[in-house]
Order: sequence, then structure tokens, then C-alpha cells
Amino acid sequence: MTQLVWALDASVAVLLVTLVARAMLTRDLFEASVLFIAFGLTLSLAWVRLGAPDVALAEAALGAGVTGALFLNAFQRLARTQRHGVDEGPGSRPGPLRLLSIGATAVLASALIAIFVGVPVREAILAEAVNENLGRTGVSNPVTGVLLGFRAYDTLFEVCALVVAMVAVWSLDRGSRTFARDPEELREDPVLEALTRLVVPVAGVTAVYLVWSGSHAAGGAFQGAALLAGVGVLLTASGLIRPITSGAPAVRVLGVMGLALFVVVGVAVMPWTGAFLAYPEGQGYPIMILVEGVLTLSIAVILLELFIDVPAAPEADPRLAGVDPTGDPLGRTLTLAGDLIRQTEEDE
Amino acid sequence: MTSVLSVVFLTAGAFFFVAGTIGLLRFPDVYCRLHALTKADNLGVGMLVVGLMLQPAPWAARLQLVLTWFLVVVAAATVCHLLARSALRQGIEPVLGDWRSRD
Amino acid sequence: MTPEALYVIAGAGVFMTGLAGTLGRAHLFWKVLGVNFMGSGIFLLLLAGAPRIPGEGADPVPQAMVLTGIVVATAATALGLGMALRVAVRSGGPYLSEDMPGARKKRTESVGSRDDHGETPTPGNPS
Repeated sequence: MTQLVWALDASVAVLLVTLVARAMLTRDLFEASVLFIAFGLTLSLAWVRLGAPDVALAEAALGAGVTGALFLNAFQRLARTQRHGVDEGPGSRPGPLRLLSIGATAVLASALIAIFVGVPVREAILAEAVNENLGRTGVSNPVTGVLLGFRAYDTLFEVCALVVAMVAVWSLDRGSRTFARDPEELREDPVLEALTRLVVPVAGVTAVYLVWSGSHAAGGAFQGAALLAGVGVLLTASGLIRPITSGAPAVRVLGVMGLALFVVVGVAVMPWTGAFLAYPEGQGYPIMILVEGVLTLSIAVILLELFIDVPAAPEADPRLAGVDPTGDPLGRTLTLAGDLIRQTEEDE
Repeated sequence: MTSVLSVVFLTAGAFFFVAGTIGLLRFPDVYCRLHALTKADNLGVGMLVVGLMLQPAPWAARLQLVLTWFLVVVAAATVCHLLARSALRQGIEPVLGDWRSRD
Repeated sequence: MTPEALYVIAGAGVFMTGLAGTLGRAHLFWKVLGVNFMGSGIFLLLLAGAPRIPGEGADPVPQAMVLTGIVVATAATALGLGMALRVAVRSGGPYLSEDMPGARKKRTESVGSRDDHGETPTPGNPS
């Protein structure tokens, strides 16, 4: 029996490397995106085999789902606007430089394998410390205890990184020309609409369940947020709701709300315990549930905004009147700065 | 008895998945491949779910399996429809009549 | 060979293939893809090399780190793809300017020639 299980592990491991090699060698954008999604799902299986169900859920939802959808979206934009559905470029760098880089990475990979396999595994010191102190946090899932309790500081900065990414993506003009149109124009497929009407309530309930179940079983805020983001994508793609303009005020408030609450909570506990984000003994559970709930909503909105790109129509905002829709604030600023620098150099 | 039946259904499910994959690799155009893949995969998922339900498990888990199967079937059917519609709009013509497999 | 060792080798293999692809491919989309694969390879190494509690699963601290890593990788991929699309919109192709198809051919064609001033043409000084 253990031989069969070993064979399963071996085939998953071989499949992982094969998918990556195939994805990096192909010249077709679509094929690479699909292979990436397949890789994400296989990796999810590997996480289950390694005893990490929380990570498996997050990998399936975020790694394969959201990131895979992002790659497909980018492929669609490239193929449509630039007719670059296939990589016609030069490919790899020629000759000796390529061999050198491959050789160097092979040496690095061998070193990594030797380190991880050769060094004897010590006892699970950190895991024992976590298990001993888990009662003080009020949750029974050790991963959630670590994420929102012992290492809440890391999670705070993770949400910071998400908010920064959202703002940065807003400031880019990714070439989308779908201004916020009437939803009736987009509602063209009855099958997709039927699927959306069926799946959205189920997915919503499942997302709330995932967040709640993170306290005692596999689950958590990020997995639930990814599911909610998928719900948002379905609703927008099927035309059942009007596409929300990127940077709309409601979206900004929702996106930042989770981070703001986290910081406020962290500061508010300081009079009791004297340290930032140090929950009082036994009070951890209600605080974590509150923070997790708002965080889920926030992260769902952030993920949705990373995915959807609906620039404000020039007529909608009078401040944008006269602005060339292919320009963006960052690009125009850089061009202006470049002109100024060139002018001052010519004057000298 | 139930464990033998469970193994039979699980094997049948795996067989249908393999059949669908062979169809994916051998059929000449998008529409044939979608046809083979969606039909075989839906049947395969159904067999797998029946096989897993025959394993000893709490009833809540079995109901979850049925719900999962329902969602997978609906999603697979919708995705098949969307892919076929997109292929049609791109102008891909279905291969008609006699054809030889690509190898 | 234990299953964990298998996944360690897979993780190192995934990391190496991602790194080689990121360095080798000129298309920006594949660079972002390669960085993503590199991240996944490192996560595999982290969790496959982690000590396991018998009967309970993997060490929770690396699990939390990998969870954080997956989320940040998604956000970084979104930003990277957005920038790649921006480059494509502004410069006509999803390549850095020295990798644009045609730029490389111009360089290799003119490398073997010298112009009247006796200078070899360089990318910044086409002639």
C-alpha cells in the first residue's frame, strides 16, 4: 500500500516539474496560462500530501484561481490589442550566456536539494511552542493562531502590500477600453447568467463558512476572500451588475477598511497590554473574528480590483476632460520630468 | 460488499477520465474535443462521487460530495458552452466528414 | 526516499526551471510567469523541508509563511502583468526595448561592420 502512495507522490512531483518546463518552453501565451492553472491545482494536491490543508485551499483559490485568471486576462488583452497571442520574439539569449545561466541554476538547485535532504530534521520546536500557547489565542486551528495571533504583524504588512498593489495597478493604464457601460449591453449570454444566478448565493455562503471555519479547521480570511473575488468576477462578466469603475470612492473605502481596522485594533489594545497588536489574554477570539471578517471583505475587493480594469470614462469626471485616454498620470509625469531635465541640460 | 462496489465505481470514473483525455489528444478540432472532454468528465465525476459516497463517512460529508458534484457538472457545462461559443465567434470551422487523427 | 525528499527535489526543480526561464525568455509575460514559478518552488522547499508533527500535519509557522507568500505573489503578479501590459501599450510589444524583435537583428547585423568613422555601432549610437 505504501508503494502505491509513494508512486502517487512521485507522479505528483514529476508532474510539477514537467508542467513548469512545458509552460516555460512554449511560445503560446494561452498554453502557458492554462499550464500555470494546471500547475497550481497539482501544487494544491502536493500541499494536501504534505499535511497543509490551509495552504492547499489558498493555493487552489488564489494561486490557481485568481493568478491563473490574471494570466488569462493579460493574454486576452495582449492578443486583442496588440495581436501578440504568440511570442514571436528572439527567445532565449544566444549561445554561451544561455548555457552559463542554465548551468548556474542547476548548481544552485543541486545545492538546495543537498541542504534540505542532507541536514537532519530537528524536532518541531516551533510547532510545540505554538501548540503550547494556542489556548491563549482562543482559536484551535494552529495556522490561524499563527496568522492572526502570534504573527499578526506579518499579516498586517501583507495587507499593506495588497493595498499598495491595488493603488499601483490603478495608476497604470493597462489598455482597457471598456468604460463603465450599461449592464444591458453586457448581458448577452443566458447560460452564463444562469450559472451566475445559481453559483453566487452558494459561493457567498461557502465564503462566509470558510472564514468562520478557519478558527477550528482549515480555512481563513484569504480563502474566503478569494472566493468572494471570484463571485465578483462572475457577476461582472455575466453583466448582472454594472462594472465598477476602477478607483470609485466606494471601492477605495472598502479596500482600505480592513487595513485601517487592523491598525486601529492594534493600537487600541496597547493600553491593556502595552504592545502593538498584543491581544489581551482570552480576548483574542472576538477580536480576531472582527478583524478577519472585515479583512475578508477588504481583500475580496482588492483582488477584484486587481483583476478588473474599468477606467473612468472621460465624460464622467470633468477633471479628466481633455486628457488623452491612452495617457496615464504616471506616464505623463515622467514625460514632463524628462522634458524639464532635457531643457535644463540644453540651457547649460 | 460496499467496498467492492465502491472500488468498481471509482475505477469506472477513472476510466471515463482517461477516455476523455484520449479524446482531447486525438480529436481534430475544438468542438470534438470539448464534446469528448465534457461528456466523459461529467460522467467520470459522477462515478467518482458515487464511489466515494459508498466509503464509510459521516452523512454530512456525503451530502457535501453530492453538492460538489452538482456544482462541477453545472460549471463544466457552462464552460464548455462558453468555449464553443468563443471558438465559433473566432471563426473556427468544425471538421466535417472523414478525418484522420493528427498522428 | 521519503515523500518529503521527493517534494524537496520537485521544489528545487521548479525553482530552477522558473529561474532559467525568467533569465532566458525575453517576453515580459514569461518573466512574470517564471518569477511566479520560482516562488512556488521556494514554498515547496519551505513546507517539504519543514518538520512534521506525526498525525497532525506540517509545522504551522511555515504554513502561515507560505499562505502569506501565496497572497503576496498574487498581488505582485497582478502588478507585474499590469506593467507588462503598459509596456506593450506604449512601446508596441511586450518586450524591453533591447529585446524588441528587430532590435536584436539590427545589432547583430551591424556588429560585423564598421562605419566611416571607424567606430563600431552600439545600441545607443545607431549608424
